[in-house]
Amino acid sequence: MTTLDWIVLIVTLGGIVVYGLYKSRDANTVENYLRAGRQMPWYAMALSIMATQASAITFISTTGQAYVDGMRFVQFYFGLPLAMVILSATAVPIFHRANVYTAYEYLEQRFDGKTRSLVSLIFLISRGLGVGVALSAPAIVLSIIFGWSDTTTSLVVGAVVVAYTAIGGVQAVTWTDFQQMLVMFAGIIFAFFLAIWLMPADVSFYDALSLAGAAGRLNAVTVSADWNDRYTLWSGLLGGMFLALAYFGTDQSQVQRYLQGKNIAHSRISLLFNAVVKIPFQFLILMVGALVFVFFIFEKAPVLFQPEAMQVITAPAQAARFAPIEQRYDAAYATRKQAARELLAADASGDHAASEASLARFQQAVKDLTETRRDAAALAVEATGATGRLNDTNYIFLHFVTKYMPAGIVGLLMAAILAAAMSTISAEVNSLATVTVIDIYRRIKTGGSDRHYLWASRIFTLFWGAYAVVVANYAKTLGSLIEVVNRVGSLFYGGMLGVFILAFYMRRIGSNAAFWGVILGEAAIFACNYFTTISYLWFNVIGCVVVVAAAWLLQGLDRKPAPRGA
Amino acid sequence: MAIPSPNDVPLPTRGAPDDDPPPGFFGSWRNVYLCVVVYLAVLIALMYAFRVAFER
Repeated sequence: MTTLDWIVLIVTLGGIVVYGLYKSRDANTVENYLRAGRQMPWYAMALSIMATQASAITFISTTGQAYVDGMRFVQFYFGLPLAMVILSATAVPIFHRANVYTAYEYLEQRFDGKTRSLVSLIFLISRGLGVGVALSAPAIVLSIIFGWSDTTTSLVVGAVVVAYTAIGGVQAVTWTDFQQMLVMFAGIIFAFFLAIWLMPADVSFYDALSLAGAAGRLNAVTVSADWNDRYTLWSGLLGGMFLALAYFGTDQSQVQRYLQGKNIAHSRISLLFNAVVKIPFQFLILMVGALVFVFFIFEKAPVLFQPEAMQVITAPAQAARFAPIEQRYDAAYATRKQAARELLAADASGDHAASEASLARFQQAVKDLTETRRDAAALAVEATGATGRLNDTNYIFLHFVTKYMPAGIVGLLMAAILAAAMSTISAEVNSLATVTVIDIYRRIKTGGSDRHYLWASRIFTLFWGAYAVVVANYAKTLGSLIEVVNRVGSLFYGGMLGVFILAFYMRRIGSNAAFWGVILGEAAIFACNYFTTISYLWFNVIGCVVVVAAAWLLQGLDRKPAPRGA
Repeated sequence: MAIPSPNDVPLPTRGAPDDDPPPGFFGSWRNVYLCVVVYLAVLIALMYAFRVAFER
């Protein structure tokens, strides 16, 4: 990074933090600190919701995902608009009228204290682990860019985020999220146009799309009914909707964003804004990844993008094994580049036979290059004595940005990636502190003054920030981080979604049935995790169904009258 | 900061009336939701057409 990049990075992020603290200068009561006095406008909540979901690893990984696997990952978000409609129609008015600080507070109003405590505890465990992983993921990647150790990167990012979150509370989080999301928008739009601009002069945008399509990188919608295929139209609509319902409807890190709304309409619009904007935003990020793929057809990329892995396989000790891989890679790269040129020329001249021949050579070379990269990754894993697979995907976009982008833009894109990390971590730490104070501490230490609970909120923010840094150092040994995040979430989301479905839609279900339903639902999920090979993506559905079915059965066995309000 | 007693809290599990109308020309929240669903369908159709146009 050049001096200009550092200036852009520090001024952008520093300015955002100062702005967030300025906007939160009246955070001197619990109401203002945890719920922004319920005066937040819809546009701030809308971008805060979006920024909370967009973590750094998503930002970095998604572009890499399109590079290696095409744009089909966008289907993962197809269920999100449907979930937003359902939540706007049900959860938003219910939470608003219940006048709650946390989603779990509503469970005491609807059921009882023990159900509220149980679900709060489940949230604290799952989100507590999640925030550590959210902090460790960008630290591991960015430590290579900044030249710091990943522990130092975690500490620096964690300290900055916790400082402004502890001082300004939810207002600081929301207004910094708002600005951070604007920086992310700017970053990805710059990346999109620069990726086109950096193409060879004779390769137009249409040509780039033709080559990306020929390589299977524009597969935005796949209608196959293959259950083993994780990203299809159907899994996106159904599985994505369940996941989004659980995340936006029961996870306090998101619920707290729209509980600050001036009224029900503002909160609804903030969710529906995401329903409209999220898919095009993800499409744009994936398109950048597809364009980066085309860029590297004409510009030779390293065999592996991760610098440490490249050092390992190019070391003298691995020379004999790497040499044949490198030869295959060079040959496949040259063939792919030549075939791409011939394909564009044949298409332009309308020579169908030549076009077909070039296309076959091009697609074969794409496969050869993919296999060569896979062999190189296996060599890197073997040489380091590690287990599992090398995740090179996260480094593709960073390599492109740092090697080919002009000075100043690199700083902006690094600011966008760090902003994505900070927005997620701040919202999570803030929600953890809120649940700890409102759902746990305030029920143990009753009768305290407003000032007492305000300071308790600040202290718990510091506690969860420190906890995140500690977990981040441990999380890097857990394997694929994005999978760890998804797996941890899936262990708990099914139970949480189930109990809220009982609360919102099944009025005859009483507190005991709901409580034991959650216990049985979580037991079913953990049994599936330890004793079956079912993919963790199905845990949300299984847990939710078991909670609802078990509660319904238990309520039927209970001869006591149905709860009040039924 | 006191937690309202259960008797003060309605349990609007469905059909809760809207406090505020949606902005603009939508008329009702139901129309807004319908527009979002139609928008999703159009978006998916456009992405599918995009794929078909360039994939070989």
